[in-house]
Amino acid sequence: MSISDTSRARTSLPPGIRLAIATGRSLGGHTSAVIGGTLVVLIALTAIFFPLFYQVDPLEQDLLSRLTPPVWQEGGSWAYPLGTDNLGRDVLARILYGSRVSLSIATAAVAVAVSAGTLLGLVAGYFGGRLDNVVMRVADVFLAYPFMLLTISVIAVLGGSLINLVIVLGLADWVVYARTVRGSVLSLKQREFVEASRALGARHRRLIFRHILPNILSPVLVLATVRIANIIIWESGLSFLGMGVPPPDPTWGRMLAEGRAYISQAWWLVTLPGLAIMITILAINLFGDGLRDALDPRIRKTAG
Amino acid sequence: MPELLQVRDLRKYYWKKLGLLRPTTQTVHAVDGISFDLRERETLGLVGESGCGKSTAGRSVLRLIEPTSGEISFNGRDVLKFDSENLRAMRREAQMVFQDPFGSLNPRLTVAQIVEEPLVIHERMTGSERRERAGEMLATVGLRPEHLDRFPHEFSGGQRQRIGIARALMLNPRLLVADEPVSALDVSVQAQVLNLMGDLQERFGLAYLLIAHDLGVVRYICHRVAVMYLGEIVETAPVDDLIRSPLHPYTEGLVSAVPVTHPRLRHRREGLRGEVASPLNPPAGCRFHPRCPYAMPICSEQRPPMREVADQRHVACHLHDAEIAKSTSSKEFPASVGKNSPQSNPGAGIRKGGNP
Repeated sequence: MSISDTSRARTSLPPGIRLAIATGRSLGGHTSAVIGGTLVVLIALTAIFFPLFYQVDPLEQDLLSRLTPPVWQEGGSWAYPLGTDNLGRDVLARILYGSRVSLSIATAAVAVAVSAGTLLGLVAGYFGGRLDNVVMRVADVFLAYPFMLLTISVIAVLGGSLINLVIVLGLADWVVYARTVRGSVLSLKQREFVEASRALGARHRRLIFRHILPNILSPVLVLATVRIANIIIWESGLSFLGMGVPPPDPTWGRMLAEGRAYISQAWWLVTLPGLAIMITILAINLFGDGLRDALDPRIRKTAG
Repeated sequence: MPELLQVRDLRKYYWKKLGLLRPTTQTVHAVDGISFDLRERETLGLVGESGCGKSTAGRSVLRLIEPTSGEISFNGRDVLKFDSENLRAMRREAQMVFQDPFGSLNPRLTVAQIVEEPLVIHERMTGSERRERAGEMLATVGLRPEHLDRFPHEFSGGQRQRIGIARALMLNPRLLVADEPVSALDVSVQAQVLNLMGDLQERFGLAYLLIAHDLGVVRYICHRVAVMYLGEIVETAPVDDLIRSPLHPYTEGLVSAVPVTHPRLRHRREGLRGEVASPLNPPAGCRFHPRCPYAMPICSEQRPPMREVADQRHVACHLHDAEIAKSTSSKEFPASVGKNSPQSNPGAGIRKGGNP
C-alpha cells in the first residue's frame, strides 16, 4: 500500500485538474512547445483583439500613396507601418484582417473534419463488418482523389464563400481523422477495460463514449493541431488561385497573388504576408510536436 | 450444494480464411467440447498451458465471446438463449476479474468512476449513494475510501487488482470468472490477493471459476480443478487428489513441473516433452498422444471419452479404460492411481513428431 507523498499532496485537487496539471507540466518542460504555444496564443489574441489597437480599414484605398514601402525603409512613414499595396491599401491592416480569415476558416474546417472523421472512424472501427468496409472504401476514394482538384471543382461549382470553403476543406480532411480514429478504436476495443465494461452490461453508447472516445482524444488533438497548419496553407493556396473567400476581404493567399505582379518594385507585398503564413505554421507545428510528446505517456516517462 | 453453473459440450471455433481468392477456410478449435459443473460457493480451477482455450472458455461462459455451440446453464437458465436484456440481468450475477491490472482499468477514469460504473449501469442511485457504496467496497477489498479520487496509474499492481475485484463485486454477483487474476503480480502480492479472494468468497458466498496456469495458485485457492489441453478437458478432480495422484499423463507432466521448495524433497522432474500441437490441426485420437510418454496405438485412433474412475474424479485417457488396460497390461504403464512421480520408462511408446 505505498502511494508516494507527492501524489498524496496533490490529491486535494479535483482529479480532472490534476491530470491537466500533469500534462501542462510536461508540456512546460518542452522548449519548442513553449515557444510554439506562446506564438500561437499571441497570434490568436492579435487576430481577435487587434481592432482595439489598430483601427485602419483594410479596404480603404489611398491611390496617392500606393506602393509606399514599410516604415523602416526610405520613403516609408508611420502612417503605413508595413507600407501599402498597389491600390494604396494598408498592408498591416490587411495582414491583420487576413489572419482572422485564415484562422477562422482553418479552425472551422478542422472542427468539421474532426467531427466527421472521428464519428465515422469510431463507428467503423467499433462496429466493424460491412459498415467499416463502406466507410473505409469511401475514405480511400477521398485519399486517392487529388485534393486541390476536388476543392477547386467544388468551389468552381458552388462559388467561393466562407461557408463553402469551410465545408470543402473540412470534407477533404475527414479521412485523416477517420483512419487514425479507426485504428485506435480497433486496438482499444481489445483492451480489457472495454471488455470489463462490457462484462458489466454496458451498452454500445457507453462503451464508445465513456471508454473508447476519451482514450483516442489525444492523438486526435495532436493531429488536429498539425492539420490546422495544413489547412491554413490550403486556404492560402486557394485564395492565391482566386478560389478562396471572394474579394474584397483580404486574405493572406490573395495578398500573395496580388503582390506577385509587383514583386520587383515592392517586395513587402509578397514577403510580409508570406512571413505571416510561415510564422503561424511554424508556431502551430512546434506546439503540435510538444503536445504529442506531452500526451504520449511513454515519452513523458522518459522525459522524467 | 446446488449447481450454479453447468457447461455441456461447449465449443468455440474460429474460422481463418486462407486467402483472398481461395474459398477454403481453416478451423481453429479453440474450445472443443468441454463440460464442467460449478457449485455455489465453490472454486473450480481451469488450468492448462497458454493457448489451450481456458480463457476462451471462461469468456464464453459470460458470453463475452459467443460460443459456437454447447449449453451453458446458469442458475438453471440457458445462457445461450438470453437476449440482450436477459444478458444484462445476468451480468449482475456473474462478473469477471481480469489478468492485466494495468489494462483492465480505464486510465482516463478515476477509481470512483470505475468502481461506480456497475451501479450507474444497473441501479438508480444518486451520486452520493454510489460514492458511499464505492467507498465501502474499497474498504472491503483492503483499500481506503480516500483512494476514490485517484487515477489507476497511481496504484501498484496489487492495488489495481483490488480495484478490479471491487468493481466486479459492486452488484453482489454469485459467480466470478477470474482470468489469471494474480499471474501478472509479484509473488509476494499474489498471496495477498488470493487471500482476499478467499475471504470474499466466504463473506459474499461467491463461486469462482479461476483460470490459471500456475498449479501453486490453483492448489492454494481451488476446491476442484479441470485440466485443459488443446481445447479439451482431460481431467477433473478435487485439487488435493489431482496434485497427489494425477491420472492423466498430461496432468502428471504439469504436476511434476511444479518446483518443490523443500531441499530434501527432490523429486524426479519429468516435465513435458515436445510442443503443443496447433489447434488449427489437432492430432487425431487423443490430442495429447504425440507428447504422451505412455501412448499406445489406440491413442492415435480413438478419442478417449471422459470416464468417472473414482468419486469426483474424471479422466479422458485410454490408460484408465479398464478393458484396454487389461489387454495391454503386459506393457509397463502407470496403472496405479495414486503415484506421486511418474515412473521412469524410457522410450515407452514415445512418438516424436506425431503432429501431422
